[in-house]
Amino acid sequence: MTASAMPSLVVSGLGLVSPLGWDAEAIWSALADRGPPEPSALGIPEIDALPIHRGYYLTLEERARCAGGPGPARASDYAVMAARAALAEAGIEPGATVGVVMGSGMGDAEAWRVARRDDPSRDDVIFRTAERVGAALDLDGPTLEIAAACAAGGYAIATAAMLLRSGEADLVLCGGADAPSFHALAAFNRLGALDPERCRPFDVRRAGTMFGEGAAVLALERADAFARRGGARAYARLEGVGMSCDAEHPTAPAQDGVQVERAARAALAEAGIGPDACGAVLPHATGTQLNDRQESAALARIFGAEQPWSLPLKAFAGHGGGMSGALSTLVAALVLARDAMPAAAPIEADPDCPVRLAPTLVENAALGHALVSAYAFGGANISLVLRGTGGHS
Amino acid sequence: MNAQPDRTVFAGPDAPDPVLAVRGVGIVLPGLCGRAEIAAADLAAYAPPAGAWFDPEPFIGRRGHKYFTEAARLASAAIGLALADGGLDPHAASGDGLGIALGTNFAGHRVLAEIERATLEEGVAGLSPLTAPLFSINLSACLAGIRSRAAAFNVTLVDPAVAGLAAIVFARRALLAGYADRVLAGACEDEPAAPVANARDPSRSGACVLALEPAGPGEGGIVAAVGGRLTPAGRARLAARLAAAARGLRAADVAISATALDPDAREDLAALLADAVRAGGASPSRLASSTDAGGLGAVSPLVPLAQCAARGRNAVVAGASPYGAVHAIVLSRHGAPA
Repeated sequence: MTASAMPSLVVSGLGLVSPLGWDAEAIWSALADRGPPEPSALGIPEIDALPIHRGYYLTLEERARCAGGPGPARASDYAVMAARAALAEAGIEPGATVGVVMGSGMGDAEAWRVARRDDPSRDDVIFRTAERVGAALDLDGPTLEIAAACAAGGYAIATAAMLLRSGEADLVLCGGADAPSFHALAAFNRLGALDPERCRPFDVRRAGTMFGEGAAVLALERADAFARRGGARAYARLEGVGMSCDAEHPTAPAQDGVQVERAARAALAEAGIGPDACGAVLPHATGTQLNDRQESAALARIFGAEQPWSLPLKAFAGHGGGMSGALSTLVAALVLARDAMPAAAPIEADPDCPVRLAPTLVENAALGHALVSAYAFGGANISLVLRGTGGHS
Repeated sequence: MNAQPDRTVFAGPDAPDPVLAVRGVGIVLPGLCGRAEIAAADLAAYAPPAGAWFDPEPFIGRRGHKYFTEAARLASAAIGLALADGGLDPHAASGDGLGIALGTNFAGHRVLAEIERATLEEGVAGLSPLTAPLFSINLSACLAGIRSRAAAFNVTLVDPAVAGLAAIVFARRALLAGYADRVLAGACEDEPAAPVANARDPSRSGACVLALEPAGPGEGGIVAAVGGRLTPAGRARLAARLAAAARGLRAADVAISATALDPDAREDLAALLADAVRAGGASPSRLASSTDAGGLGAVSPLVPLAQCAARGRNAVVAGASPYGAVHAIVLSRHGAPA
């Protein structure tokens, strides 16, 4: 099994719905200029009644801005809004074949719960995020939706890359969308996997993760086609994908980190670079004891003493489930486009988590490439490698 | 920059892709189990018997699956059948080169309903820590993957009605890109939490898994996968690409199968497939299945696909979602299109 070289793909548009901001400028300002926001309650009575329920959520007004129909189909609402923005920025010509690959952990589970509360005699599908994007934007290309739990957004981007490689589409809108669901929060409460204070990756005081929400969508296309149509401004190139699965435990990451490391090394290899060419890492970094220890150990094995800058994004945005890998990829594209690494959220560093965090904004950082990783229940791992283009600033 | 030039697998829509061989067929449905039964079945007359039907013990033993969803047990059983059908050693088949891609629409829905009930009535302490993780719909495929030690990837596709076909699409692309040497691809379904809105007949549980590998010279299998949406431009593109694939089959007769919940949408899709096959110089013959109305969720379109694979037929098997997304798989009995 040898993954063959990937034709260069460019990120030509970004779309975002997040408590951190609704576009590239806003999220960069939130990361570079402000500290992590304060968690809040969601405002849904059943969810707010759960023992640990606060998270990094949109306001009621922001949620209402996204609403595309009756019922709380928030994940797909967010996806449609973010995808529309990404497509508009990419500015592809009419007649192009545009595909959609979205990842989501819970889909519109809240809409499903409310519908069944009103009429328990009927069941229906929960996931229609990619379908709604395709229908709302009247797209022609292939549509796929991946529910690889918290790695779904990363797998969606990797799948988009495969479709572009094979000429199935001229451009693919890809990313992730999720909204907190009663079921997921109840289960995380039961599993003791939530931090009641905030999300504190790599902090010795960390006590679990904390939920977030929103959508992050990339417009991805082949670099040669982008150049032919006169596209000039790309945020970054996607150059490597690495997949693996622990295949060991339903929820806990394998403590040897072998498969996590294999996915990252595979992505670096597909990009044709060694670890020393990678100046930035957007880790999964959930704030759980096991994930952060295992992931940082894998990074130490890959990068050795010369660690690149890591940005644990969930300290700012919480854990957006299937959105999180896509949000990390979006931020990696911005980090590379600006060649700058925002300061990490202040932590009391865990000596068992040897990562390199920026104490202040690092500008002119000569980052080169960025490694993005996302991991999930069931042991699903995905790593992506991006390279800067200098196109956006 | 990339270390290597692009390979022919990236050559684009006008160049034929390498063929994927269907090494094994595993199917576990009410009253229909294994290659011999699916090959011999009259799918138009297939009527699943009512009531509880699945005993996992003959397939996956008595232990080790107590906290699985039924979909995970069914997927495990179908994986075992697919490997055995292909003469593939399940232990030798494990590892970094083995991937899993399964579609589902309803796996875990009953667990979600139970999580909600228990939490509202008893608080989160009322949840079992062993079943609480099953809230995540990908756990069914993952539990089956743990049994198979599939470490290349484990991905769950959830597209309404067509997730099983979407899983084949993912598997195909991942194999051609070199992310796995073998993929167990298909679909698994739990019994939904209640009858499914808009479905004509009662939904049921089941699983279908194909063991896919890159084909050898002259070997038959999956020669194309075409996806798109039923917009005017999308229809034209689907028709053109399917016609090209049908032409490449160099066959007099090509079976067509169309799955969609809505009867009009189903006939519309069947007409599109028939026209494309005719445009490709072949004669279409409709393979009707009682699963064409989507009563087996994501498994539905895989039932005719599995039969065509088991019989070695030239075929175009397609499904449409209620939102107009289409995936079509093209099977050749004789290998790569000319």
